[in-house]
Amino acid sequence: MAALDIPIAGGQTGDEAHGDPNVNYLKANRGVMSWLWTVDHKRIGLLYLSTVALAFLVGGLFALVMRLELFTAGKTIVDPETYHRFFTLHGVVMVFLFLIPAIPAVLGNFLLPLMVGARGLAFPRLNMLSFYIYVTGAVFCVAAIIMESADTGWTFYTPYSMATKGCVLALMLSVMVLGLSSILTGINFIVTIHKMRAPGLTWARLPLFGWGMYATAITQILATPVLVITLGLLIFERVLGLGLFDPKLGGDPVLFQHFFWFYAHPAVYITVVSGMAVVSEIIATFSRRAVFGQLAIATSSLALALLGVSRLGKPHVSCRYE
Amino acid sequence: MSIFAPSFQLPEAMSASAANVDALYSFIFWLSVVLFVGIMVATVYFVWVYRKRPGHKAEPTGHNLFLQIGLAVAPIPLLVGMFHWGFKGYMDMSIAPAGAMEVRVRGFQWGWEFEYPGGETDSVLHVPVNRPVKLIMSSSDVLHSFYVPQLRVKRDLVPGMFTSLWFQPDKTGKMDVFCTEYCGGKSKDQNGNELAPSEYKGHWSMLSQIVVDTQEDFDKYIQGKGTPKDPVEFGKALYTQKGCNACHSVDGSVGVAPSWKGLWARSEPMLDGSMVTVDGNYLRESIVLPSAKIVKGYGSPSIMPSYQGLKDKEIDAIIEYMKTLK
Repeated sequence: MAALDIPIAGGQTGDEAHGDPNVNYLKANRGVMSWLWTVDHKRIGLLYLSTVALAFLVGGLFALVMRLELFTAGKTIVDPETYHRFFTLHGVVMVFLFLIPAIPAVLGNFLLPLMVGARGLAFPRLNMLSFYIYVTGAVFCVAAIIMESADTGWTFYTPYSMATKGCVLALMLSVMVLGLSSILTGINFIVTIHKMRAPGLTWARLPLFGWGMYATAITQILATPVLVITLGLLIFERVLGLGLFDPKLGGDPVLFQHFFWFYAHPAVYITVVSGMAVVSEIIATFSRRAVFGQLAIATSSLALALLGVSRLGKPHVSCRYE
Repeated sequence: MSIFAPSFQLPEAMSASAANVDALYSFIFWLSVVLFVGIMVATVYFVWVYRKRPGHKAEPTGHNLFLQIGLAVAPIPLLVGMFHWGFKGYMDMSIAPAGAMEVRVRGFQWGWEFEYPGGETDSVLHVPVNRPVKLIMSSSDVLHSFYVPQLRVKRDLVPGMFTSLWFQPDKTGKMDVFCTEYCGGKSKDQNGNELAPSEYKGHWSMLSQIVVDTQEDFDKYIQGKGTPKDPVEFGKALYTQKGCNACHSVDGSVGVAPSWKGLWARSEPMLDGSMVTVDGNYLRESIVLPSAKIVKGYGSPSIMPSYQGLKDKEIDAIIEYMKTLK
């Protein structure tokens, strides 16, 4: 592997910091700007950790308000419209700002290059870009919260998402932008695992966390574009009245459900495959054993990702034609 | 009540197919209990037996291909069996037996309307016990979902399309109907004034009931509804009122458009070579979007104007009228 002459941790290249036991990725550079413009995979992982943790807190607060509202029958603290907005925001924040990026963007960014023996991810600047796209998506989400946001639920099902008066566009844009961030992380991981493994680190020796991130990344780049395009179509539909999904204009609301679950069904696997990848490493480490059935777990992660993408969302659509 | 009975966890089962759903549920539930307890006991046992202690060294185990393949293959018959059981039940619950009483269900924000074969309507559904009932459902605004826990049935109502489900209640009593597809809500009137909490309406208040009567009580209930507008008569009136008669005959003579005589349930060849069975969804589409499917022998696009303005009830009545033209 040719050495990548990229600066890590701000302006300093890895080679300068290398070998000095007193300099690590936290100490290599100081100042706010060295964090905001970092292309170091560990620092970006920590940036993601802070934002993802914040999103988790916000999503949890929405859930808390919902549970408090349900404490008594009738109105307890918020009116129905607010309640509907809160469960929508809870869903969007938890799925797109927390669940999807949680393990790949935090642990994946931090650990994957270490596990494959690379100096960083294949595209460090793309990694930084993906973080800022994530932040942009989060800003749209905050805007949606401030401007009486959507009350559609996180699935944005039509025709309700066409008819409601809430500010649906900001929230849809937020999810679209977050999707782009997720795709960029996926591309980065796939290239890193393919091209930057240390000499001798064959696929069979790749740690299970690496396999998990690989399967997750495949799902991210195959399924997420469908979500981004579908929400784009929904925005066109709402603004221009295209009639793709609206039965009054000859559209089909079930088509939207198929498109949406083409993404959202595999998205479940993004979460669970990452989680199982983490568990595999933790158990192996603390029991001081090689994982029993490494190859079987690795291939089943991959099979889960590929089957998930090929299922076309069928299991989630409960309506049937007469 | 025994904790082993499904009704310990689930609401009372009030139809034959509900009992089958519960049997499958119980099987999966108790299988999970057995596996969970087994796995946990084995885990705790191994953690204890192979704990770190002086005088014992860890011995790395090699790979055992036979055991790996065995563990992967062993659950397959079980999974296939559960899938077969579930899918067979699903198919049985999807296809209504012939001679089922057909009831129209219309969902709207935020309530239900039920229309009996004779045209009587109500906001609660009365059905006679031990007779199959087929629901033909449509929505006049957004997605809704018809859910009756006691029957273990649920199906979406989609605007612009008919969906259906059927059930056969096997005991008299009352059941709850819920909407399980989020469909909005309001706490303000048209002028933006806050309503009293008791006036709030929405997805959560989209409730109804199914009342299972004996056949006599059901007949009494229907008679008590008075003489309603017969949907077939209503459809026949619409046939001329809306001008369908200008192009569609009811005696089999073919003019610029297909005759309605014998049309229902027939297989029709389309212009693109496909075959279509004339059912509710096809007729509805042809009324609302005449050019969507063109019958072979007629020009495309269709010369028929769109009847998007028709209410669901009117489309239903026209279809009922067409069914009688044999």
